[in-house]
Amino acid sequence: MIVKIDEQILPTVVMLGDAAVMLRWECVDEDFPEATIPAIRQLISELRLRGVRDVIPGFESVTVCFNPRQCRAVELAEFLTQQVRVWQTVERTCGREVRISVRFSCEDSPDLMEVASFAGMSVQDCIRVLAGCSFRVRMIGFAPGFPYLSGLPECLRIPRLATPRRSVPAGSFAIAAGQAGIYPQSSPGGWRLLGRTEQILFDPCREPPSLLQAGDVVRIDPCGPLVGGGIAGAVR
Amino acid sequence: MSAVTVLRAGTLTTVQDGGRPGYGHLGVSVSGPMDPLSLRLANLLAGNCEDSAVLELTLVGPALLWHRSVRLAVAGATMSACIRLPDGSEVELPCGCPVEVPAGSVTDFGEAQRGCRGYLAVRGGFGGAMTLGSRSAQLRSGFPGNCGRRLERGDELELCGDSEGGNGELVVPGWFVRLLDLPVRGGETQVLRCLPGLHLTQLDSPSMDRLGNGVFELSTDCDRMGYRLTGPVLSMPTVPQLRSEAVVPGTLQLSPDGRLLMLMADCAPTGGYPRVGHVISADLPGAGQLRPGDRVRFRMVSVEQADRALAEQERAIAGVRAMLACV
Repeated sequence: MIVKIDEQILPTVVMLGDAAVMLRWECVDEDFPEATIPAIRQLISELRLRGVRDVIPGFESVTVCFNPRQCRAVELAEFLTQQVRVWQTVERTCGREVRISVRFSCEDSPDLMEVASFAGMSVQDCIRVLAGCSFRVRMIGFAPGFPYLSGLPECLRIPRLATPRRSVPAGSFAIAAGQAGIYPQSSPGGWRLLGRTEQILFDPCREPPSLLQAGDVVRIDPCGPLVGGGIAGAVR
Repeated sequence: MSAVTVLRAGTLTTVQDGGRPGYGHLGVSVSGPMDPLSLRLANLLAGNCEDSAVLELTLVGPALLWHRSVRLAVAGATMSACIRLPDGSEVELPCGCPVEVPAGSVTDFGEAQRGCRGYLAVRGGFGGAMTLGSRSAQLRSGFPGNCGRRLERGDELELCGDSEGGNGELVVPGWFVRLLDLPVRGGETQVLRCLPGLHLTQLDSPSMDRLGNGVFELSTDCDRMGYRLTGPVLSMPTVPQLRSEAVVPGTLQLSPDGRLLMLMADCAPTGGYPRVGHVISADLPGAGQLRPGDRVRFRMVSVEQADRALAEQERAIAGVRAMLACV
């Protein structure tokens, strides 16, 4: 996919102490292309600047973490501001489409009923809506390989669970507060669990270790007994 | 045969090296030592690269049986420690100098008197599994491989390469180096210098005052990911609703209950709470030596002051390097 970074909005530069500089696109509205930040992250990363250890995307920011013994925050901030101005007119490729097979079943989908009734639709329609979504990976965080996905329809914007679960199974596809995500490893979590994938989201021995990266587009391929008209009774 | 047998593990003993940079955008913590200055010092004294893998000892150290003669060095917290030689005699294991220990000796670490974390380096560095370019244990993610955990009694540890050190005799020099001035337990309040965070100015003015003048205490909810502080409660008239973005070790987050959360080495690379400040890099080593019950104050400084403090620390390390080249 080609992203054209032609926004007129320039970022503000914020220091995160003396070892990181954050570029922040404040007041970004819905029209701000979701792929702009991942593209700028990639461009900064490709510069391979001396002393830079990590370039981390957020929803509305890119943060450059560095070794303060090897480079200085003020100089780096100035340099990055200039670069971004140049990049505002750059066109580049960013993100791949990744299809993830998600199983919907009584065991794998403990919150699906509630979410469907919140949205005022049947379980099957809810799965159909999810399958039609084009999710964008905005950032990876919370745990290695955990993607924060935007692109959830308005009708599925259900809040987090009041009490988080002590343990969410690895591979759980979940939604909360207008976002979707997939738990790469078993961990505590407060999102609503809709289904589960067998795909490995994070494997440190794989290159790259994370299945997904910021900028990727994710589509869900539903499978399992709750999909379609099959065993509708299984929901109860 | 392995090089080392763990006879007693201590409170929390982990393998740490320079950390795991380069994967923050995939959600991977940078990890590495809580007190990076002492890791570097221990490695220099042992004759290693500065970021070789060492053992990070916490509060009460381990007892280790060495199967070959080694050159080792301890830095950071002052821990009571002794060497039990194969002939049954016992000598003190000093901190801040290289020590040659004959095969069959046991190094036995007691409680930390000053500071919280000791760093035990051995010539050649500790070996073992690597994940994403680092041997640093990250307990939450289970990195690296099956060793991503604290040491346990009975563990056998490997050293890197041909790490034979010394000629089998005990050698203890008559000098030592100390770079951090660590307080005794329950001693005076530590001052941590900070740069302002993005949301600092959103604190109400009594809270600004409390942050600048108040004394905060490390609660019992403190680990390698971060310290939850008790003490003055801070408030923001309107709490900004943030979506997750990058945080770094040293970031001071304001949690919803008005308490400060100070992020440390194993913190996740992103977080969603307001950021009121960032402890400067030069003060992170000292911060890594704090333990529950210790008291801290925060002092806001300028970027220039932060740079100068770090340069001063680098000069101290350069001094150690120069001195070691002469001995």
